[in-house]
Amino acid sequence: MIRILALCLVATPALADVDAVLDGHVLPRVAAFANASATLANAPCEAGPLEEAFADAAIAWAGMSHLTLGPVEEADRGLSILFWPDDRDATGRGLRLLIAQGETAWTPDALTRASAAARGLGALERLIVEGGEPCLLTGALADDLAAQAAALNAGWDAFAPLLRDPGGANNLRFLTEREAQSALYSVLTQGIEALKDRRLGEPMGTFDAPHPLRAELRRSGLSQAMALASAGALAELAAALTDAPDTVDALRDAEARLRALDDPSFAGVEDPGRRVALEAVQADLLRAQTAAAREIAGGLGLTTGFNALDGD
Amino acid sequence: MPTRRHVLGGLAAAPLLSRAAWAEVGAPTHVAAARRGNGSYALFGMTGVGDVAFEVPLPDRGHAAAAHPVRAEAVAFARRPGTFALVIDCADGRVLRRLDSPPGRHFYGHGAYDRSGDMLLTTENDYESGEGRIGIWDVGAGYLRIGEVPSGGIGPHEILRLPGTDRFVVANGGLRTHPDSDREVLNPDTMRPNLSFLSDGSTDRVVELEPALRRNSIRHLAARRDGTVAAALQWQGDLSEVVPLLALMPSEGPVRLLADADPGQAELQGYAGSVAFDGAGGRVAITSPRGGLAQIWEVASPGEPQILRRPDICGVARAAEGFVFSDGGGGWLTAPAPQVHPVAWDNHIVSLLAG
Repeated sequence: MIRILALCLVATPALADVDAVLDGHVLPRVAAFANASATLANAPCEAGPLEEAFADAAIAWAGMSHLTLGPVEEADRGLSILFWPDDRDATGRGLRLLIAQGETAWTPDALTRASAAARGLGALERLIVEGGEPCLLTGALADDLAAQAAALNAGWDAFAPLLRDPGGANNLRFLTEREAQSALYSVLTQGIEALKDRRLGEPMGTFDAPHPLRAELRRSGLSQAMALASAGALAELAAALTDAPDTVDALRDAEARLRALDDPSFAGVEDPGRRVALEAVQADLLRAQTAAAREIAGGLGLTTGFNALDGD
Repeated sequence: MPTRRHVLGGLAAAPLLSRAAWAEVGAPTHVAAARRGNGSYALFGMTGVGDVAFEVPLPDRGHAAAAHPVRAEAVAFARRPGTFALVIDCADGRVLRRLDSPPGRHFYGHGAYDRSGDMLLTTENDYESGEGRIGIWDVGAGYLRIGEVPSGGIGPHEILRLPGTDRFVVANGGLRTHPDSDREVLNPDTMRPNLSFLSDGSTDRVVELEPALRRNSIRHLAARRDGTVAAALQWQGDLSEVVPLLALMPSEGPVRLLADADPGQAELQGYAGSVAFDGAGGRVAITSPRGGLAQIWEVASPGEPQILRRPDICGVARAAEGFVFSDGGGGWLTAPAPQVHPVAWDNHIVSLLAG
């Protein structure tokens, strides 16, 4: 009897739905970033249209930047899409170098050899908030971004079948359904952690030492919009992954709180009265982490880091 | 079953050794420790196709094991800074002997038998002086400690017998530690790891990395039949500095850093956990559980490594053809087909294949 009970407990985890995550979350979001980047690359070199297309591309990136498995793992691609945080102003230095090198360095091909800090959304932001000049460089950086986004999209077309067919021929990446589910669960938890500790945590610093200049894409006032997009994407992922109501609720709370905020560049981290709102978002995210561990990891029977944390 | 005479008189008098050969315990090709689903620990023998040949309990989590060349007998070492190791009969799980490190010493978690299996060598820390030691144990006399020699450096970690010889190579990791402060490194600024080769108890060759790489701790080893040694390194310096974590020492000539110009080294997060040559010796692999990947290099013409991504991958060993890899999620990857066992495989895999 006890044995039967034990088996029942093991046999009724909240089953994660890999296809639902891929079709309802991952692939549409990767495609949306590719489309938004292509639109930015085709935008006329004028302040208004550039700013609008730039914001769309950045927000689309925030909606998929948690998808760090698969194509993004290769070659630091995440960094060359958005080099952040950038405490040492590597983007500023990289851009000055590019400008000094002149037009021969301003081609999408030449840019693939440039420093990651001088590429992607961070570099584009610097140029666009100052009107988009020189247009040739802005255009080349936008083309480079669009090419990277298209490569990610193509990379996911190749990677998604591995997640869908664990244990298939030549699929050493995922041997079982549970391994594929675990990978998606890790994406969720790492995404929540990145939102809480980096997107919010970097500018928040500590109460006594906030770092407003570390806010993501603060020059274009997109910090809040990026965090909002990220929270929404994580809630969508949690809902698609499995039946995890508390996790989804906590993420939706974080999303609602971020939407209600009026702090586009997170300058409020220095003001105790406004900072408290961001602390409340972090508390929602902490609640989401705890809920995910219970509702999702508990169901899948996951353990992580047996060797990675031992280290000898 | 042990006879009454064995039970009553065995420990003190006649040496108690396993009477089984490896072929009699399911003919494993590899031995590895793991945590089982219920939280207990065990030592597993694995066949060439990745099935379990035997499974014997361990009292706690170990680090690595040494396998006797003939008898189904393995020494499982406690994790650093452990002071004991257990000699286990893989036929029935009996603990044949408990080896205690001498006063003032602790084990590092690795050991190696000589070619005949008459002698066991263990890496040890003489922690007051900080000198590395190689303990020598007489197997036939019931694992009697009969002496020790200097390891040739500080912090000896893995010791390996070179295939077909009674020459050994020791990875002196360079890290000075004291059990009072667990694994804290006491000499981060002056560390100077090396590889020391031992013949007949004395060091006959010492190889160091270039000065810029002195904070690259040499920890785990693999050896090829021609005497080439591969070392997996662990960077103790600033992680924003990306350094190669795989070194090759040909039997003669300078060290080769296969991964010197590889941008992908950053993915290893400064930590290579295990290293192995493949069955034919043409390729060499290192693993990084922190990065969740293995890199597989062609020894003769290193271009870009082949990448195998698995969360918490750490174990790697030579297989009859190719490699076998293991990970903390239970994955045991070898030809013809990978398997997932309901365990978390521990850091290292010991190969029983001749060589």
